[in-house]
Amino acid sequence: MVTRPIDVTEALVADTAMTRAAVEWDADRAVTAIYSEHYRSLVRLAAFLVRDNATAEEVVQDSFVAMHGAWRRLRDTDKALSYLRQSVVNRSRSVLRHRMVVDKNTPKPPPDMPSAEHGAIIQLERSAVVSALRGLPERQREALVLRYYGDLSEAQIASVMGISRGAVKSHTARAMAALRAVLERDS
Amino acid sequence: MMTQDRDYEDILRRALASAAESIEPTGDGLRRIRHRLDSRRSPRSALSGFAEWLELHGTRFLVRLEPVTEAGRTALRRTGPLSAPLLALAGFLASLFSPRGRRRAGGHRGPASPPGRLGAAGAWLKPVLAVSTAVAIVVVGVVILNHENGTLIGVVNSNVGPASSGAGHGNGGTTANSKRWKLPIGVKATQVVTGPSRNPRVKSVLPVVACTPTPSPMASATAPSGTGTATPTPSASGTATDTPGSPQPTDSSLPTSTPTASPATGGGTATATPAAMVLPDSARTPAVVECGASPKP
Repeated sequence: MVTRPIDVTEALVADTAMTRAAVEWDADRAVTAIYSEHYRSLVRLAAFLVRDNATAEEVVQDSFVAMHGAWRRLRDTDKALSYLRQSVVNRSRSVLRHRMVVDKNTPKPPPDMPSAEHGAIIQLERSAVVSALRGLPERQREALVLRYYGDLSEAQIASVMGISRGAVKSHTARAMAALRAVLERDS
Repeated sequence: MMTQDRDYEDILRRALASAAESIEPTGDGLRRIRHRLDSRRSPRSALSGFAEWLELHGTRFLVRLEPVTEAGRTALRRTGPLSAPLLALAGFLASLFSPRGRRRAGGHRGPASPPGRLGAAGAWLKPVLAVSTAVAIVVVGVVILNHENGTLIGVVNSNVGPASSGAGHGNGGTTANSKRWKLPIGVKATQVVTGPSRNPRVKSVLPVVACTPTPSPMASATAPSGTGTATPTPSASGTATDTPGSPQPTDSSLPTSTPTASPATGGGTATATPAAMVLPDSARTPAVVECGASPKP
């Protein structure tokens, strides 16, 4: 009489444990699959934002770990990719914020001695466009990179940046105007 | 203007694509991600394992408790008119502290949630109810434990206590017995004597008093007329088997022999026999000291 509910309970608990293990296994698989398909593009996106390859990789790896933890509610590759992009953008912002604080407090190196970050930036400054992009404000740069490198729609950019579509349009238009002004001046 | 914008857009797109191609991530990205996942998993897995164990065993315990609660409910139902308010109170308390009840009582989440069934008093009534319930449980537990202890001590005393004093009736408790067993000054408890207890297998601890009365010089015998001299020879006969120390109280409660001159039957010798050793009232020892219980005629 008493054994039946215990059996049922244990079956339920075991079922929960199995589901948990299945989710874990599924998350591992998803990480592997998304890594092989999107890791490179995500690192490049992060590199445009943080202007440093090593930091970009760190940011993307952190985002993958976070996605693995959130897989229980994502459970979809498209959602996971969107989550990853959003996470990359947010973590890049955090890196830039931290870097600003560090830059304020550290003494500047002499002008003839290039920093390690400078070497990474040189890679991105091969063209005048990228160098002009570097001079843009953070949000405008994000909007441009997501729009013209990531090929995202306004709605997707709004979702990734956490702003409205109107704000995305505004940021993009202002960024394009600033970029054009810089390029016309240089040329 | 529009075509110029599109030109800039194309330029930007191409520039970004060419710049991105120069960025090549290192090949051990997946390994690093897995390493980070593993390092995160180790403490988390211990916690989640403990949570699973707790969940499983807690549910098992609750399921095993189900017949008991069912029996309690049945007993409550059998109690008749008393059961209805008790059941209602239990249901009310359960609904108060269960999550579903809380949701019902508190309404939907949010800062402007309307007051529930308890109204404005619910905010302070719930903790007060919880604390009072906990206190009641503790008090009941303490009372039950005390009751159990008292019963246990009573049972022990009924077996061990002195039978002659009549104190071993179970509810005598320790205090009464300890008062009775208090010895007078100068009297030492010396030996364990198997007294005439109700349970012959149990030895009773009785202070044994041996009396060696010293006849007071005031013991005078009134000899019968003219024939002989009265010689008081006190003979102490106690029931104790061992006499390591004779009680000789120094105060007024000195055991005094009260020689009574008996008319000599033969050679006119009077034998003064101390009747009984008089012990102070405050002593109230259960040890009955009888020294020559009755004077010889």
